[in-house]
Amino acid sequence: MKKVFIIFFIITITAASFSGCGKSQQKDIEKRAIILSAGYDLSKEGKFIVTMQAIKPQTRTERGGAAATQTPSDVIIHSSTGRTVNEAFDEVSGVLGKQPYFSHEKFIIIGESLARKGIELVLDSCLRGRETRPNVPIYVCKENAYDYIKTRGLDEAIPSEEIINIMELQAQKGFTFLTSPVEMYNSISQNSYNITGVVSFERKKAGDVPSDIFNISGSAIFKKDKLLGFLDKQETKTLALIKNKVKTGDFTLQVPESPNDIISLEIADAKCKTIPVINDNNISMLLIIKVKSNIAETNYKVNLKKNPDVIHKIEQLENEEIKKQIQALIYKLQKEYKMDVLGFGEALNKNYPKLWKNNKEKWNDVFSEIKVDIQVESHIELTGSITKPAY
Amino acid sequence: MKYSISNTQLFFMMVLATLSGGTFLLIGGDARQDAWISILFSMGFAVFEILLYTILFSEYPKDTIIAYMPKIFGRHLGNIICFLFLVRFVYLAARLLRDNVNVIVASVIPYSSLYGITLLLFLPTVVSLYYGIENFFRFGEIVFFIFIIFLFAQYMLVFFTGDIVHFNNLQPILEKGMEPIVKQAFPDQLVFPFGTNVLFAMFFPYLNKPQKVHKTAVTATIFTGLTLTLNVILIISVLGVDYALASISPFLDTIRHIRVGFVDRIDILSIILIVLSGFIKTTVTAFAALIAAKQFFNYKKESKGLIIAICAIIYFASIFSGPNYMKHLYIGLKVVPIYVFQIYVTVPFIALVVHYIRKRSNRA
Repeated sequence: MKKVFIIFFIITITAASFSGCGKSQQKDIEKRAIILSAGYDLSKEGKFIVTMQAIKPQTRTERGGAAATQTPSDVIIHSSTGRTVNEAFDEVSGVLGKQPYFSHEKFIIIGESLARKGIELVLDSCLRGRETRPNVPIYVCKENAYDYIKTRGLDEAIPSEEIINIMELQAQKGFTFLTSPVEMYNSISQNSYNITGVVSFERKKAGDVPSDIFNISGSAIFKKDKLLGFLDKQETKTLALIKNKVKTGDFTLQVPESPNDIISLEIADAKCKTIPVINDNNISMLLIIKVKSNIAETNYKVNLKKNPDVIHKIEQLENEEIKKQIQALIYKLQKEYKMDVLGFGEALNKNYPKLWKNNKEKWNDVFSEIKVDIQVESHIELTGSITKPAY
Repeated sequence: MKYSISNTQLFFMMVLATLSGGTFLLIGGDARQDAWISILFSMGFAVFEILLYTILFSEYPKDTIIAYMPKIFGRHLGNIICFLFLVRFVYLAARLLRDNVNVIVASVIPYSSLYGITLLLFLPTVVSLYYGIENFFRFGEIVFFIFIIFLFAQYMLVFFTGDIVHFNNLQPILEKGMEPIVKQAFPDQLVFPFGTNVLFAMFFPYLNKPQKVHKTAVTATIFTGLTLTLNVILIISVLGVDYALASISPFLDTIRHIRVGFVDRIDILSIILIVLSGFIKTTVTAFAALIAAKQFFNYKKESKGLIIAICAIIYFASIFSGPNYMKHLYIGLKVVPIYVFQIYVTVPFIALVVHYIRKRSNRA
């Protein structure tokens, strides 16, 4: 009996003294500002402006008479400045009375001017922090990140939730990229190019009320930690196809013989292999692309049940179209941008490390002259629930 | 020797103790993406390392290392060697305790006092020392099952999370040739993580079926080696070589990527595994140190005073082991292995040779 009492006493004392009861370790939920997303900008003096969206821990039923014109929101927006990211976040507790808590951060937006100057400090603070998750996507925005973090979206009361859902769906279609800080770290260490997604605004007016819709498409090209250039929506989708990131989405084809006829395919799966081909020190690349899709919508007046060979013709059309898009992208990257975002350098390194070592220094020039062979094999499995359009 | 442990228990404990260090810190720094090849190499060497001890044990069936070293080398040289082993075990226990503390402190509570947390984490070890080896090894059986099931469940979940495992991160294979691989494997990796096997030579006399010790030890080494290889392959495939080498706990970072349906954010499970297996390893080392001290100072009975003395030394040594975590790691991975390698490998090898020479000359 006495032993039990002693043990109980010891447990209570240790639990009380070693738990977070000290003032500096407030862990109650009301004392923490749970950050949902953060935006980083460069101020005119070269300091960091950090904008954060934190959640307001209160239940919906308490706010009965919310304004009718504006969606009620559960978030607090706050902006602070500092010479480093950490210094800026330090100010937050001074204003809100809460310590920032990063475990629920959903994404990071970096303003264009900061991205062009270099994001190494932002990246470092993300990776060193023990609360930030390693797979938070990094986004670049045109102009200021501040405007994006503070905007409320269409659907949900928590804008960050809405945005991350859009980001994930767009990434599956290849319109954007979800690059984590870990991937950025690796590509900076290996001195290769990296891509992040881009977020911009479409300002619409629904009646008298202006509402901003997020446009999450397009991508930004980074070398080391600096932003170099942008790609538009279509180019990003093609790039995503080459990088094996496309999982769903639509693909529209025009039938050449009958210019009014159009076919819409739904992509079920897409794979791409980048293979370096060496012929006596001549480096060329082979891209093998396999796409599986189904017919989603068409007015092409053919009965596919009676003429299944037409499917093969449609597949050929798809091959041609994909090949055209890839060639356009490669031309732009090779001749205009001279940036190896396609991963040719990495593919060479992985398979022929000695050749890569020889060509590493002048890779930008070598890259602009590489011949690329594109083989597309598309496969249309299903035609949907009906076999021919009504005609 | 009234304790008796079974061979299965020995197997479980050997696997647990070695996996505990190896899974959670990345090994194979210079070999970069070929780290998994270097682990396979060390596994081969480690089999020989442990065989040295099992053969010595079969020649001296009732003795631990401390007991038969003086018999082979004579009293003076033997005592010096025993003292080296004793110091090594005590120091290792202190370092492991510090490692354990750092894992918790770095990931969960960064601001508390080092003395307090170390005491808290050390108390279970002290209590285990009181209760004796047999009980501890029985506890180890349970921990083994929990550990292995959760470890492999986490590996499965990492595979099932789409699009994070990129095996081409392991390329280019053999980029810098075999040299960095072999340099990493020998001698560094024989001390960490495979050096833990040597501790168990202190427990061989307690086995209830001593003739099977060779098979048990070698199987344990191979099982551990294969698991560690899988571990490194997974870590590099998910994180990429550069980030994996820069991270303090790459295993934890890999587990943080898991997202399968509703299974998300299970890093606390990993931390529990790390602490639990760290506790097992620390306690095993403490037991080895205790038995070594008991035999070195010629105590015949169980002595609570000796336990307290050893524990106090371990406690204070762990707190003063390096002013910060980086220095502590540096000492452990760069400075110590060279000396310890001599103690762990060269000495028993010479011991075996001397033993056989003596045997032959006795017969003649």
